Amino acid sequence: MFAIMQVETDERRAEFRRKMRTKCEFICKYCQRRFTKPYNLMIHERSHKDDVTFTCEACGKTFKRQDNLKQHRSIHLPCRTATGWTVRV
Amino acid sequence: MVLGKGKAVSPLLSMAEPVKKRLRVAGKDEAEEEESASHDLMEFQQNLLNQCLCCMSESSLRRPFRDKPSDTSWTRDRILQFVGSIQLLCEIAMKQTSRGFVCARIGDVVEALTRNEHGLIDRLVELSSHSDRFVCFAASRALSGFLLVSKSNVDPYWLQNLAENALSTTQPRQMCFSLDVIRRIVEYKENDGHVLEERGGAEDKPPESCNVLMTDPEADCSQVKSVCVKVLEAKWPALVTKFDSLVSTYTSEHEATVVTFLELWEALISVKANLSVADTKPFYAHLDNVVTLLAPSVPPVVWKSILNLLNEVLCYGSTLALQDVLAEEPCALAHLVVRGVKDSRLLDGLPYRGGSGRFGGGVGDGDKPLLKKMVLLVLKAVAVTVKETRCDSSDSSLSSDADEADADMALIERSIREVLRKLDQCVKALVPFHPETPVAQWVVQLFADQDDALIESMVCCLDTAVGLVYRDSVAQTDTTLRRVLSPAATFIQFVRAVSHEPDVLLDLLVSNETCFLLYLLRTLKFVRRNWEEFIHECGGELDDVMTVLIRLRLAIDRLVSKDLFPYNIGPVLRLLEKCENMYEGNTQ
Repeated sequence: MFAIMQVETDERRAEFRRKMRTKCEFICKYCQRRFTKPYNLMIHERSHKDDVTFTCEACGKTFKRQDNLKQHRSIHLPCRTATGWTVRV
Repeated sequence: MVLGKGKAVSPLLSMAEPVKKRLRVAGKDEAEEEESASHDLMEFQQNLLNQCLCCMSESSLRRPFRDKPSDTSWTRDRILQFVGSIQLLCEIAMKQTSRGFVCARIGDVVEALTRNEHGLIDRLVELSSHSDRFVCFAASRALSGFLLVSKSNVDPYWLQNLAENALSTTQPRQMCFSLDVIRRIVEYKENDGHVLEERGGAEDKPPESCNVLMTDPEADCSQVKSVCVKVLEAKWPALVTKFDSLVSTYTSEHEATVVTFLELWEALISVKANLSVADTKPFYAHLDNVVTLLAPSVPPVVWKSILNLLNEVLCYGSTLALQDVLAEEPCALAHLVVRGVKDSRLLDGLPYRGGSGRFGGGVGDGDKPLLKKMVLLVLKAVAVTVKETRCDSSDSSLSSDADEADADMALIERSIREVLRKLDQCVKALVPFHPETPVAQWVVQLFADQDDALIESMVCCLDTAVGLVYRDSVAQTDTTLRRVLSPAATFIQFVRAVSHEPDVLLDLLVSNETCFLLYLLRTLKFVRRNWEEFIHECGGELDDVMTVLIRLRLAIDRLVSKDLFPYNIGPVLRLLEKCENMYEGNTQ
């Protein structure tokens, strides 16, 4: 544990940072933190958002909560009518 | 809209002064007056709930705000009704504005109030010294709503005085009031509806008859937040000093103030606050002192708030695990926690059963949420320490750096093993796990009822294992850590915990409440690279585990083909296919 701090000299850290700087940087639009891979940035940015929605596979309607989507899905289920089974969409 | 940033207004300065008795409206009977005011407020609230004030007359709209609440002439219920109406007004106005419209009358009333025409801010602030704690609480909520609804017109003077009051007051309740108002502003998010609220319903829209004005939905509260953070920055060192002294001379009278301060601190550095990392940098100072406050003499409620704060600083699953270069502050905190566990008996002081002695001594069920927060902090600190040394565990292009890091890694491996041994000992002393259960397995059992902490702790274990044990260039002689942190054992236990139900995995992937996307991505990479070990660890459960992954792949495929997956899931899908191919090759 203590050895890290002895081995991690300023020169080594600076050299490492120089190497990293030459890589592409992707910057978070919410907090300006830096990432070197676009997919890592995408994963990070998802934690800033509150707009996750659950989408109905049948009609594309979106819901903030999954149980509301589950309830909604029932309208697409077949229902019994006088002429037989039909599907409500 | 131009607000009177009135020099004539002297908000908040009178906070410490006693509440003055207000004169009653001459010639009106008190009971009659109260009844009429109450009736006006009822009508006001009812119309607000219907999203429109167009049907109210000008006089009945103004009347409730003409009189001032005071300790003596207003009943508690009347004050609460008044303050509750202000809060409701602000919330409805903000909700409508964020959706691009506002009822013209609601807009007018808000504008008049934010101009402080009625001295409302002073009235709400006066209530911070009210003897009834419910009144104080309601007033703080209304004041934060009021400041947020002021948006770009907020007067920094109000916020400065609020912060100054938190610093100068000797009354714990007033300090708590100011901190709570600021916390709500920092924490506020647009479109942050209540979980029980279905947006877009009929009750969410104003009636047809309403005179609706279009607003700029982009005009958000970020400016209020930004002013608030700048104001706090200047006072922060002094506020932290005051907080330290409150904790060191702790009495239960200060409990709410201490907890509120820690909640504010947590809100300031939370990734979810959407504040720039540069703006929040000053709030990362003084954290080392906070770790030293974790002593047996501090009550569990304060321990939990401190642990929440430290866990937020080590935002591993959302941020640190994804960065190639880690900021210095979380690394320094991680070192401190690792050293605290290894050398300073940090875990021994945990007030698990609220008694005296090791782990809080005493009898009873114990404080499991407290234990979970502590375990998560240690696992994050270990993962950050390993990550810092390793630079980037997932980037194979950095092989030369990885080689250099090997020497460091060998040096820290022993320390990490010791930390994990102590953590294992602590958990098994407090929770009845089988003595042979490795960390990799009990971590799932311990966190089974809390998905965000569960998945973040699984990511920490996985990254620590990959960083320390599964390095390509190192021939491992000691296999202890390989067993203690086995990523395959964690995944198998997790699949058992979700009853082999792929829908749970899909829900976790779609939702952003946990870091499951990161966990699944890295676990699948691990499985692909260590296929033989994975098969061995699964034993007779291989078919069950692979069935879950194959059904998950099919479900994702279906959503992707209909263009319904909310983000690019391609990399996970490709890894699932590769694992499936290896499994099919294996079974053939």
